[in-house]
Amino acid sequence: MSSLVQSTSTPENTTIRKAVVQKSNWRKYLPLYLSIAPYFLIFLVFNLTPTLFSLYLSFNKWDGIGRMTFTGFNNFYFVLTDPIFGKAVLNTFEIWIMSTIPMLFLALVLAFLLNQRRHSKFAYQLCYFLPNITSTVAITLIFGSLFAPQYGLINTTLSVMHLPTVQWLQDAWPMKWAVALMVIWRWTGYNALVYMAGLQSIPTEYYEAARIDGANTTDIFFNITLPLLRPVILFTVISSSIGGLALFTEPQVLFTNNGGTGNEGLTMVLYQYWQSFASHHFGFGAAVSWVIFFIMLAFTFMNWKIVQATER
Amino acid sequence: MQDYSTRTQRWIMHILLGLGLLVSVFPFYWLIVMATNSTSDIYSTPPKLFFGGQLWTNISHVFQNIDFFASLGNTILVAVTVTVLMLFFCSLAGFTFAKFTFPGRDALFLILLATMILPSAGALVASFVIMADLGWIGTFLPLIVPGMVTAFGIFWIRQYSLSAVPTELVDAARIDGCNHLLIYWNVAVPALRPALGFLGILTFINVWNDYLWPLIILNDPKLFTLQVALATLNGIYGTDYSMVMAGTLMATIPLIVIFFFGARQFIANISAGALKF
Amino acid sequence: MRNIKQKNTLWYASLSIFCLFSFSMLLSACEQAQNNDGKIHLKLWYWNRSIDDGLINAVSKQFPNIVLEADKINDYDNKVRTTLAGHYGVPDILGINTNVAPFFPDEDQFVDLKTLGAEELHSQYLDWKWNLGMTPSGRMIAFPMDTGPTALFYRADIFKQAGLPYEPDAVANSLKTWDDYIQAGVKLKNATGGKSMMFDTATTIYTQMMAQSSKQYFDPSGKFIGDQAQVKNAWNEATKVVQMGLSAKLQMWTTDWNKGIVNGLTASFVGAAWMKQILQETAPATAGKWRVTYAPGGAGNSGGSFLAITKASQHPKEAFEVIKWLQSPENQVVGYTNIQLFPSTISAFSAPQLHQAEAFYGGEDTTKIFAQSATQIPRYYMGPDDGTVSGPITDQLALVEFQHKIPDQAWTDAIQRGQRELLR
Repeated sequence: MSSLVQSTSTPENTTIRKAVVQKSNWRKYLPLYLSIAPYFLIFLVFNLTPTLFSLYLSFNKWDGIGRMTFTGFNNFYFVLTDPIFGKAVLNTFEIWIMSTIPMLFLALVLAFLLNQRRHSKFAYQLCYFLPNITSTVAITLIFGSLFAPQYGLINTTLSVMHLPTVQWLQDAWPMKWAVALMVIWRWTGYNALVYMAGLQSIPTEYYEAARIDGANTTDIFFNITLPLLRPVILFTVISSSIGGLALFTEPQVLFTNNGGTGNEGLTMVLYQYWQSFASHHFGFGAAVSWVIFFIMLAFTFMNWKIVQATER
Repeated sequence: MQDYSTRTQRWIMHILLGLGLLVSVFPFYWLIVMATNSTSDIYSTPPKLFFGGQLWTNISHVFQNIDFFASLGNTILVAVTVTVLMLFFCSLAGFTFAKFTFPGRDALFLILLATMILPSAGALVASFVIMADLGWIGTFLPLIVPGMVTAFGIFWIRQYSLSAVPTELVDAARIDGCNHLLIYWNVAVPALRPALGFLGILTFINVWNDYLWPLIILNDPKLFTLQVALATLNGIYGTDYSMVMAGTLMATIPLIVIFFFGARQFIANISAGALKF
Repeated sequence: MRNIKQKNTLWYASLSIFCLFSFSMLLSACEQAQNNDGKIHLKLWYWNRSIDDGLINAVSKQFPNIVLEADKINDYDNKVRTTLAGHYGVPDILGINTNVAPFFPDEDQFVDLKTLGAEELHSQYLDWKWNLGMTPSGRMIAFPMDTGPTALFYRADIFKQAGLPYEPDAVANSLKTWDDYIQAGVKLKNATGGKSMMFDTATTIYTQMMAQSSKQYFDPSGKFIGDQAQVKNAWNEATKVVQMGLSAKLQMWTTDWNKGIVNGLTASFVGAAWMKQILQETAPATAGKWRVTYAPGGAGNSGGSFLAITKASQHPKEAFEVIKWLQSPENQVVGYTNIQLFPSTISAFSAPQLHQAEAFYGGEDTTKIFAQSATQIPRYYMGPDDGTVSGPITDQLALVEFQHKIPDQAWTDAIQRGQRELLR
């Protein structure tokens, strides 16, 4: 920042000028640092200690009440050699692919279509957002009832149409599809709203200019809308990656803590919850959550790079 | 202005939108059905799919079992406070990350992202102890202060600001001699309105639905938030589901109201960002 | 200029935030004021319908110098463990559900009720229930509350149709063992062409057989006995049911199970006394068609809860007086009458309020059966790690039932998994 000042000056002038520049640099940057400081302060006070505690806990055995016993790397060894954890990781990624990719795509299309409408935009927006605010208790009951193998609504409809019924809650892939469908149901509207908000930031003049130049809707979509929407798309990819890898509510609702028959619906975070809260092994749970952290970090970083790389 | 729409395209669009609508709304509709019938109706074969007449009975059961309006008031207080604080702090920080350069900016932002993923296992006890040491157990402060600015919110605003806040205006305002806060208020906030609308809705809903942390912190039923109060309606062995559904239905209505206010921020400009089909 | 207006708005905004903030702090501060009235304040944590609310309110009348602040808590385990670990705001009296054994390793967090004179009351209570609150080292950390004696629930009309005995006494006589029960299941399936099944899932057989066993997965010294005869027998009977195709495959606590009860796909199940309430709420349309009789294999217990006094309590003696009163035979009868909590005091069983002709069960007095069952339950030891071992077993059983896994392989995997988990 101070490079401009240094080019044409004598040694004495440089010192004085440098001092002046540095003082105003400080004044220049102070408001900026102050603006971002609140988050870091809150984090330091309220989140740093728990995070460090969690790290310490992962090297111990603790039932949540009594004394802690130091166990070294035992917890990590156990989780990294646990076939059920391996299954949980696999399930998580499979469900992520099955749910997040169609979901984001659907959301983008939805946002685009909804933005065209001139009437009853709000009604549509509200309806698409309802899944996100319907309470977990209700969702548990309703989806449990929809996917029930013998008398559930979906299977009953299928058999009425003379199609084979699906063992949504007992067979391996149908279990994953049930979770994926729930995720898509719950989050498409939410992401569509994110995209709609993003679309608001694109000035109409760009579109009008393009039209005058003779572009059709597809051209405009791919050459104007998408590029300008990239930061928001990056946001949804990252947050869906994190959210998708941390998937917990939907599988727990459908399958209870162990992920259902054969653990086919078990995700990483559900595994962690099952082994820590449900079985009172909090040290182990902490270790699992650190392993999950590194997996998520790597995956999110990879996704970030991919989206950034689409910038030509 | 040429009209590029063909009739088939329009029909496809209508059908797709309509289908999506039905799928989204159906479970919520069913929730209302359950709330207006009795618990045994919920289990009947074939399932009841139409409204019954039990809504008032179920609602009165809710009122008998929990102090609904007190917990409603508590939740509104906490949710509004957190939302207002979030909107301010996250937008200020996100805008700053997006439109200004300063030493360590990128590193700090990456750290911020990393903290979004940090695990919180075992954190419950540690956080509880921190609150106990501060003397904040049994107050609303643990529900407000740690959550008043989040990495997620900053990330969202920062991404949004990248394309939405015109750099020329920021520079112009700076040349005009505005201090950072004024630039924020005059340039960023108007441009960020859709993003703020969304963030406001999101924050409000998250605080509204937050269950585990208020459960641990609050002991006095007079201070319970809605989710904690509603959870006490669940029995271990058997639950009066129609009553619980009526309770959750009532708890969802304020969310719809908030949604109305927030979503207006990104429908307001009908022409902005819209393509004529 | 515009800037002034913006400055004003900013100012108003910050002022209102400050007001909201301080208001919420004030609101929370108000609650601290009350405790200076010279009375003893006791805090009780319990969950919905674990104690009769009327009784709780009556405590201050019974003990004029005690104020009982009773808080209904949900997600019980989480909150209890976090609070105990944080050593802050710990209640005096704690309700504990069936899972009292996981607290045994932390027995020093609870008052040994024997030091408060609990032993004098021992004879009033069912011995096996009393014993469940005792840790292996002999500390009594939990006082009996309600129990879950099991019996056979069955559809008399469906039994009659299938040519099986259908009056309670006749059924009990013909179904003395689990093998008898399975044979009857074959008969039922054939007679109804598979429209009605005797069993809801194989898992129920397993859990109910274990509920009747005096040996569980560990002995009091901590030795693992989870691969021995009592477990293997239960496993074998359950897998027999699968292999003979006698299960309706309706998992408990799902809407499918409810439907099966309503439409008769499930014709019977062995369950605890607290299932009565659930049955009646789930299937009112089947009222009058159900009966209750003695379960095959004998008496068992499934469920039931306790009350404990925490070490953090400043007034353990008074807390114990409250517990004694809440769980007196008379008050346990009140609990039964109001919220169907099955008593643990022996004299309560003969109270007339417990013996009514119940229309849902065709005018039968079902409590007679449950009470008899309750007195015959064998003494058994629940270890803190029972869940760690039983979890994999029921998981593997589900694989046998729903994914056609070979039982022998499943058994080996179950035991192996349990052993592995114990290493954590």
